[in-house]
This record gives sequence, C-alpha cells and structure tokens, in this order.
Amino acid sequence: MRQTVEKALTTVSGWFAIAGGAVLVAITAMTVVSITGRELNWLGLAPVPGDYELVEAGTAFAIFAFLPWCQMKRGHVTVDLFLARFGPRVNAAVDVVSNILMTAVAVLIAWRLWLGMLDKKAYHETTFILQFPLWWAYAAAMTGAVLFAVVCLYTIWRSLAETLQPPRQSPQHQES
Amino acid sequence: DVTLRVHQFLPLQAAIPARAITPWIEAVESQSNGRIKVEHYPSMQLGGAPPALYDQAKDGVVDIIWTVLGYTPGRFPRTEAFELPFLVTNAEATSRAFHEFVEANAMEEFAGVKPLALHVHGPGLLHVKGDGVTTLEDMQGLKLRGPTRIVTRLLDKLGATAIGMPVPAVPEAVSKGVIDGAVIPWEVTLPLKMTELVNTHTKFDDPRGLYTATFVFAMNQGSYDALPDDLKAVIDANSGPDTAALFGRAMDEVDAIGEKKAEESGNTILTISAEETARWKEAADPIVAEWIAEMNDKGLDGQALVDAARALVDSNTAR
Amino acid sequence: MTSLEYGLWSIPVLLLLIFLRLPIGLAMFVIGVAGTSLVTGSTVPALAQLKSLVYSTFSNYSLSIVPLFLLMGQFATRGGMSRALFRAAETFVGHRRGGVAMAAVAACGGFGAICGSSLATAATMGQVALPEMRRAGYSGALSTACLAAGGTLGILIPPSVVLVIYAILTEQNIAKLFMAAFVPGILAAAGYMLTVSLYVRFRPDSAGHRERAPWSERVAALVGVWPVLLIFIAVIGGIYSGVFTPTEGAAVGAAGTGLVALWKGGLDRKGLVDSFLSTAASTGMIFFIVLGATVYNGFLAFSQLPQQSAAYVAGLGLSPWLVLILILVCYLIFGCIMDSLSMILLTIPIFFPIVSALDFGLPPEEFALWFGIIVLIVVEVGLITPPVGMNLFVINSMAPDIPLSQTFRGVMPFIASDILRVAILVLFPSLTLFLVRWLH
Ligand code: NA
Ligand code: NA
Repeated sequence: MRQTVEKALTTVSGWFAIAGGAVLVAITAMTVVSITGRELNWLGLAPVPGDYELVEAGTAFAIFAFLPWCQMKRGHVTVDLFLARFGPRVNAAVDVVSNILMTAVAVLIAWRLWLGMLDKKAYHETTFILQFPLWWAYAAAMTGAVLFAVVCLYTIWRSLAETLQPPRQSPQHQES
Repeated sequence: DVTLRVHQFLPLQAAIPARAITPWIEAVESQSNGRIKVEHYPSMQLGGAPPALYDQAKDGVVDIIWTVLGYTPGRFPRTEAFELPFLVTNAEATSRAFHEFVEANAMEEFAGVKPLALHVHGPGLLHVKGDGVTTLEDMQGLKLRGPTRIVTRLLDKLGATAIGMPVPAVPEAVSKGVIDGAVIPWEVTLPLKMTELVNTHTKFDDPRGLYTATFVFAMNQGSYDALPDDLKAVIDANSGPDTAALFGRAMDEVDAIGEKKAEESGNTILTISAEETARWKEAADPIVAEWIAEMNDKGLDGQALVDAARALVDSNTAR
Repeated sequence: MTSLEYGLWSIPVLLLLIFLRLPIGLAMFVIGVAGTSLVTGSTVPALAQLKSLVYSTFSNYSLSIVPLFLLMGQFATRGGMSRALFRAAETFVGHRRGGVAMAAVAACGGFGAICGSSLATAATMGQVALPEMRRAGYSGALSTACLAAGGTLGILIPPSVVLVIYAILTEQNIAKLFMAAFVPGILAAAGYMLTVSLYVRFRPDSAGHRERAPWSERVAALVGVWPVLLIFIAVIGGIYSGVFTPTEGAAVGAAGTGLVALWKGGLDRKGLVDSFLSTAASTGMIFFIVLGATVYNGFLAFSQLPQQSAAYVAGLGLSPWLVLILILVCYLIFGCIMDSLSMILLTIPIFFPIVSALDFGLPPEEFALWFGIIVLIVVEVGLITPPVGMNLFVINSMAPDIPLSQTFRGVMPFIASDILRVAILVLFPSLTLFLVRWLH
C-alpha cells in the first residue's frame, strides 16, 4: 500500500520537477532571444515584451513545482551532527515530528497562496507590460503548492513506518 | 498609548522618507503629546516586495504604508488619469489635485484603508546618453527604460524602444549601454547617480511635463477606527489635500537639487521648444484616447475622468 | 517579554531546533511566524503577509539566477565540461604532492568563472573530482574538504549570486563589484592550493601519487577546455561590454552550456530528465531556506533587534577599524549556523549603514566595493564552517562512506586560509580596488 503511494507520488513529483525544469529552459531561451532582439534593434528587431515579468512568473512556477520533489527525496538541509549517533529509529522518530511541522507549513503556504490568488483576482491586478492577470501566475504556482502539501503529508506516514521498521541505512540529507 | 508602524520601500535618506514621512511622524507625535508613537521601517525591512505594501496596510500587517500605485497595475484604474502624458505641472499643485480627484472620483478603489496623502512626483523628463533629444525624430531607435505602463506605451508610439526593467537595474544598464537612458523625474536621478551616466537631460518648454506617477500614504482602516477621538483628530489634521501638497512639495524641492546637480556636472540640459512640444502632444493624443476607450470598456467614464483630472490640476496650479 | 527579548531569545531557540535536526528553512519559518505573532500580539500580520510573501520570494527577479546557475551546473556535467576542466588541471599538476587536490581547486576556479553559485560549483566539480581523488588514494578528509572550499570559488570569482544581491541592497554597480572581486578571487584559488600543499606536507599519508602526464596529453586536455573558455568569453565579455546585464548573463551561460551538452550528446531524454530532477532537488532546498530566512528576518525586524543593536554599536563611539573587525567576527560566528544568502539579506541592511557612516579614508563608492568583497569572503567562509556549512553537506553527501566529522576536520586549514586572506584584504584595500581604478 505505502509502496504504491510512494511510487505514485514520486512519479507525479517527478513530472512537476520536469515541468519546472522545462520552464527554466524556456526562460533561458526567452532571455537570449530578448537580448538578441534588443541588440539588433537597428535591424528592426525588438526585445521580447514583458521579458522581466515572464522570468518572474516562470521562476515562481518552477520553484513551487520543485518543492514536492525536494521533499520526496529528503532534500532539505538538516544538521546531523548530534542525532547521528542515536541510530535510525530515533532519527526516523525526529523525522516524524519535522514532517508534521513541514506539513503544517506546506498547508499554511498553500492556504495563504490561495487567498492571495483570490485577492489578485478580485482586485484585477495585472503585470506591467503584458498585462496578463497576476492570479494566473498564482494559480500556476498553486498546483505545486498543493502537491507539496500532499507529499509532506505522505512523508509523515513514511517516517512513521521507518520509526517502526527502520531501513538498513539511516535516511540522510542528500543532494544528487 | 498607541504605537503605529510605518513601512515603505525606500531608505530613510530618500526624498519622501526624509522630507515628508519623517516630518509627518514628528508632527503626529508632538501634536498627540507623545500619545502616538510611530515606528518607521524603511527599505521593506518588515519583509515582502514593494507591490505587497498596499495590502500590508489593508490587511493590517502594519498600520501605515507608503507606496507607488503603479506597483499594482490594474488595481487603481481611475487614478491612472494622472499618469497620462502632459498633465502634471508641479508636484505640489498636482498632488493637491490628485488627492481631491481621488476623494471625488475614486474612493471605492481605496476601500479598507484611510488614504492620508495621495500625491505625485514632479514632471518626468528624458535622461539620455550622447547628443540627446531635441525633436521627435531623435527618439527613433533609442532604448529607454519606461517607468509606467502608459509611458512605456508612449515611448513605443514616439519611435523609441521601451525597456521594462526594475529601477535598481537602471544605472548599470545605462552605464553598460544596455539602454540609452531613462524617463524619470529629477529627484530619482540622485539615488541612481544618473548625471554621471548620461550627458543630456531633456525638458519641455511647456507648463506641463511629460508624465508623473502616483503614490499613496495610507493607514489601515481598523488601526484608525481603534483610535480614541482626540487621536483620530490628530491623524485627521495630518491627512488630506494639504498633506498631499506637503508630500508633493518635498518632491519639488529634491527635483530642484537634482537639476542643479546636473547643471553643475556640466551636462547639457535641452529644452524642447513650444512648437515642437505641440508635435509631441499630438503624438501622445492616441495614448489618451486609448486609455479612455480602455476605461469605457471597464464601464467607467474615461472622458469624464480625464476632464476632471485636467480641471483639478489647472485650478490647483492657478491657486 | 518585550519585543527585543523575543528577538534575542529566538536565536538560541533556532539553534536548538536546528540541532534537533529540523530542516533549517523549516526552523526559521516556524520561529518567524510564531515570533511575529508574539511581537505584534496577533496572528493577523504574519498570516496576512504570507498571502503574497511566498510568491514574491520565489518570483524575485534577481534570485532567478540561482536556479539557472544550478541548471548550468547540470548541463556542464552532461556536456563533459567539468571533466574537461579537471583533466586539464590534473595533467599539469596531478603528479605533484597533493596535485590532484590542487587540480580540483583549479578546476573549481575555472568553473566559478562561468557559474555564479557556490553550491552548483561544489556539486558539479565534486561529481568529477571526488571519485578521481579517492581513486588516487587521497584521504576522505582532504578530498571532501578541498572540494567544499574550492566550491566557494563559484561565488568568490565573478559572476557571483551573492555580489548581485549585495549590489542591489547597497545600490552599487554590479559590473564594478565583479571587477573588484577578480583579484581576491584569484588570491582565494591560490590560497587554497597553497593550503593543499601545506596539508600534504604535514599529513603525507593523506595524498596518493600520480604519474606525470606527457606534454601531448596536456595539450590535448587543454584543447578540451575550449567550450568553457568560449562561454567564459561570452558571459564576461557580454557583461562588461554592455550587451546584457549580469542577471541576464546567467541565462546566456546556461544556454551556452546547454548547447554544448546537446552537441556532446549528453542531453538525450534521460540526460535532460536527470538534470531537471537534480536541479529541482537543489533549487527546492535553497529556496526553502531563502523563504525561511525571509520570514525569520521579517520577525527580527518587527522585534527591532537588528535596528537596536545597530544603534547600540553606533552609540559606542568605537574606532572604525574596531567596528569593522567586530562586524567581520559577527559574520564568522553567524556563518557557522547560517546560509550565505540569508545572511547577506539579513545583515547588509543593518551593517552597511553603520559602516558607511564611518571614515576609512576611502571615497564612498570605493568603500562600498571594498566592504562588499570582504563581506563576500566572510559570508562564503560560512559555507565551509561547521556545523552548518552547505558546501560541506553537498560534498559529504556524495561520499556516504566519509563521516561528516572527517570533512569538518579536513576543512579547518582552508578556513584558516580564508581568514588570512580577509586580513590581507582589510589591510590593503588597493588589492581589491586597483583593477576598478585602473579600468575607469
Ligand atoms: Na563565479
Ligand atoms: Na557554516
């Protein structure tokens, strides 16, 4: 059962991470095109309109989309200095607590982002140049924030299971 | 008895924080005999990006904020009448006009806050590297940073290429030639050190300047309502068109300093003749027409807003 | 408790939570929200602010270069550029005593010349150089420590994320700051190599031996570095000639590196997916910390702790040099537990006004450049000081068989070399400034 959920969430988080990466590549390409247009402006070319705001909206989406994968892969930085000697079971128990807190924070972030999105929609706020509604960018970010909360919730379960039945090697922070 | 937190995005020594907000705090503290204490948090110290300031006052994160209305495009559509080209005269009179304009026409856009001062900056002008701008034709192919969405559109219409970049990025972009210059009032040339970066500054032989931007100094409605009546009276005495005029005058004073600095540094200050200015105004007319159409689409009376703005600027300038 | 006391108490509580193995960003976030609520006497400010704070932190234009540099690191690995850099350095110095470690430092410096992130540099070069050093018989302590230290060259040698942030906070010219960072950055690389050679002199058992590479191999290895050189010329040339801004330079670098990787065949479907996933993990980690720091910093400002301590220091009437030294010591202490980006964001708005009011015999702009470079170095030391040193974590996690304590021990001489360098640059401001003076 847990293996199925683990697998499914890993897959979905992976898709989000890939989507975020694709957006970063798009930002890169758009910036290069914009620079080219600006430099060759004597040829009648022009920079991409709204390039700055596209970078901002795109980066925000990418980072929100990366959070679930980071949580799934135990990517957050912790200081293992003192608790390392207590063995995997104690550490997994500590993980239960920190994952509960992480879930609370993730739910808080998603909830507040949702309200922020409703604000932007209600007040008709747009971006400067392209004037697309700002709540679109919030809505895109929202997808990542919701998945982050779901993944956090699952990691409570995962660390509970590891407390009862520790894995061979102690879980540790990783940076792949 | 009461502590009010003021939050804004510029350092303490900038024009408005130093010459308008700090004196305002001193006035409120002394007139309340010390019963109101004001804590001033400059440079976004309490967190968030400048566009979030308005909601920080509205939602009660802090009690009072100062911000640029253009940071949240689309949110204050009626106030944009003051951003239209060739409207502003000087900042003091135009600020008084702007406060009166909002009180008469746009209060619903400020629901949830108590606007203490609604003001503008002095006339914006062109600061450009090289030979500079004396005719409409000189604008061809110039890469200029545009300050507001309306001016950005205007620059494109005038033949320049408008580059939308954050203000702090401007000095570096100008010094490296990424852009040829910027459209800002004299006051902003000081923190950006623009006189060292460009050779020319272009103004207009006309009572009206190219453009202005709008600002609000606003208080959370709940914070105001919670004050006892005598303290409310102190806040009331330090808000309204006269307070707006004080904020505008601070802008005018620092504009003069900026202009003097440009003169002293040996830069060329160009003036576009009255006849040539007429051509610019003609070229800018479609922007006004577009804006009116845009407002009409939103169900507002665009023409009436433009007329009201112009009438208030005229009457307050003549005062 | 008064606001100020809440601010003071938050520091030991934060440390406690971190040592209890709470993720660092999480600890700062939780304390920030709770602290703001306590200081303001209401949950309204903290909750209302979060409606836009998270989005605005993640959409910050100047921070957008961080994921781009991390992506660039991935592409550089896929395109064999990091391997080529390391090979070139190794054929020249690999046969010396400690030569492979020196080559790793040199390769980090080379990669730092196109990449502006220390973590990306450490991670990218670590993947190539760590296995090589282990194979050549280098000790776990030396090989992880020299890479963690070498990784800081990612930021010490321009382009540099931290300098971009500093320039924005203090309204300085980024291109001039980059110029000022060149000589100190090269001093850093030289200092680390010297440290390696002293290290192996005192601990001869920590380094293995390699055969001298023939000249034909050296030339071939040098030729292999040309894509890096090309991107370096494009990025640095583009920034200084004004074709694009330093922020845009990150995108140009990432695009160039991506094209090289594509051309070398490293970006097939799997290669691309893997580089996205790795970028996701490290970007998520960094920005969660940046978010936590933003929330915590907001609370500290509400508590007035930074403002009051700044006023206190200013009121002491100490000599400028003493104030400077105190501030640098503060950075070294804070750096033990904090991340460099959050430290800059937290402290520059406080310290910069204090120190720029003091007279060090330099014009204001030169002072700002000089102070920026010195702060850059002390903040980067934080990346390699235990217990919280991000570079140490990044490198150590690549070698699960090496205990973190060994890496901690190995890095001490490198920290000493950093402190020595800070002292030299403080005593001789012209080392930092002469390039800027000469070119302007
Ligand atoms: Na670098
Ligand atoms: Na550290």
